[in-house]
Amino acid sequence: MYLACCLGMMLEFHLSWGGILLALTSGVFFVMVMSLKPLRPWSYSVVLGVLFTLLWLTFTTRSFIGFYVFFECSLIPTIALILGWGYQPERLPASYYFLFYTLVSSLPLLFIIISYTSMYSSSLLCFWDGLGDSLIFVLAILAFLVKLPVYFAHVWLPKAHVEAPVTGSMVLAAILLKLGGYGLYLVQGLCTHSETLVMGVCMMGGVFSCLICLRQSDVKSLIAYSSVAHMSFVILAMLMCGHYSNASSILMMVSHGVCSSGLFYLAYIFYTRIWSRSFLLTRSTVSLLPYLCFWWLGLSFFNMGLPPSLNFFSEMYFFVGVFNLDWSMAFLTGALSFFSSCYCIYLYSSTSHGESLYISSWLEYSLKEYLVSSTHLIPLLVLVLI
Amino acid sequence: MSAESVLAQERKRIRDALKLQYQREIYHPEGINNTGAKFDPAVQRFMAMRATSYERFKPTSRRSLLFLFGVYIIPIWSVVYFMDKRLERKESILSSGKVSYRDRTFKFHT
Repeated sequence: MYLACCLGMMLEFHLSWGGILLALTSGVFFVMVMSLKPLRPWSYSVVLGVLFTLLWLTFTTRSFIGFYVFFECSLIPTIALILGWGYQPERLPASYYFLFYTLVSSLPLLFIIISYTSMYSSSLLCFWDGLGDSLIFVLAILAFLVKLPVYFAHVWLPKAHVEAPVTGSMVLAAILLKLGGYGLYLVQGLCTHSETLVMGVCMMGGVFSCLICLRQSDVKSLIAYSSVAHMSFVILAMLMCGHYSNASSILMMVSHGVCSSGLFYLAYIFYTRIWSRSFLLTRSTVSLLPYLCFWWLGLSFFNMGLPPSLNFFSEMYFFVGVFNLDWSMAFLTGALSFFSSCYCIYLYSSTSHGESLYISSWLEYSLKEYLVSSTHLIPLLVLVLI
Repeated sequence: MSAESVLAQERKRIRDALKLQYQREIYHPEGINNTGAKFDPAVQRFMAMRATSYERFKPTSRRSLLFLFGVYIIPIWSVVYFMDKRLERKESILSSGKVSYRDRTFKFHT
């Protein structure tokens, strides 16, 4: 995959990144369809189909205006998923947060696109001669920073992820966050100097997110906050603008997409047995579902960058990029990596081990659950070989 | 009997009653269709409290300012300032040509 990235960088940037994320989108949607219940309303399939089409168009379009339009349009089916098929009444404020955070943050980008398109008579970024001012660059990437999300603009993410149904959480974590990463990548070439403010916010914000993860009482909420921490890696890597850091960001996006999607699915499996997402009740699952805990172990530990997973190589490339920029940054980024390992271990040990809980009765494993779980875990090992 | 021992006995009585109620409910012969963990209203209240913490948050002026500056603004500003100085120094060395070709960064990178 790294060779593919390098080749893409030498020849044509957009196509290789878009192609990788397109492959990720297709893979995740395939797994999502596998995980769907057989008796589901046709409207659910229509919403997922529309979302898939919009994501496909987003990653294949060459025009920046087209990318912006599809980027915004993907909000609609996602909100339909959250509002229509979420479980709790809190899905209403969650959808408002999701909608307004994305809309308000993308307004400056819209103005910049319109003005630069009229200035350069083209919406293709290759014709744009840089975004000039640092403030204009930050305003342009604000929409993507909120989408990824960066700390301080992350409030919508735990709400939307937790209140969405299982397929909604999977697609949010796996693909929709990567829209921000893809957008940041597209605009990255227009950056004229280091954005140390955004990098500093990402570094500290990532550490804060990891510490917040350790304080969570809801399994889905912890996985959602872990996405904030991982996306801090991606933003930092993108803003470093180096070969290794760019490779690290795309590897991190793919590995996090697969890992988080799997973790959300496994959290849903435990929810269907225990009927709670609380850490107080979701414990000692290794005595309840020992074989399923194997997938939980694998995904939790790969999430923290255990070799030989794709996550490990993404973090290694990330640190190579950090040392390329300045070795002194390795302390804080090392702390970020350490705390991300802490919450992964906390996630696994709290849910799988601990004092056993009385469960009246529970469903046995099904082949579908095995297939979906293995489809998340195996690519993290196999993709390293490509 | 001392007041402490009376209280201890009262707490034990409440604990035993709750334990008996829990065991009656989970081992009830007509509870065969129950699935999952036994519903506990205390756990539910706790989860609802954690889920709605944003809506019920009431900042106090002094502590909030202390938190804002001590945890967010000062650490982030320090990191940004430190990074700026380091990168400016590196940039000035590189752009003034003081780094020899032999000492270039990533010379082993293709």
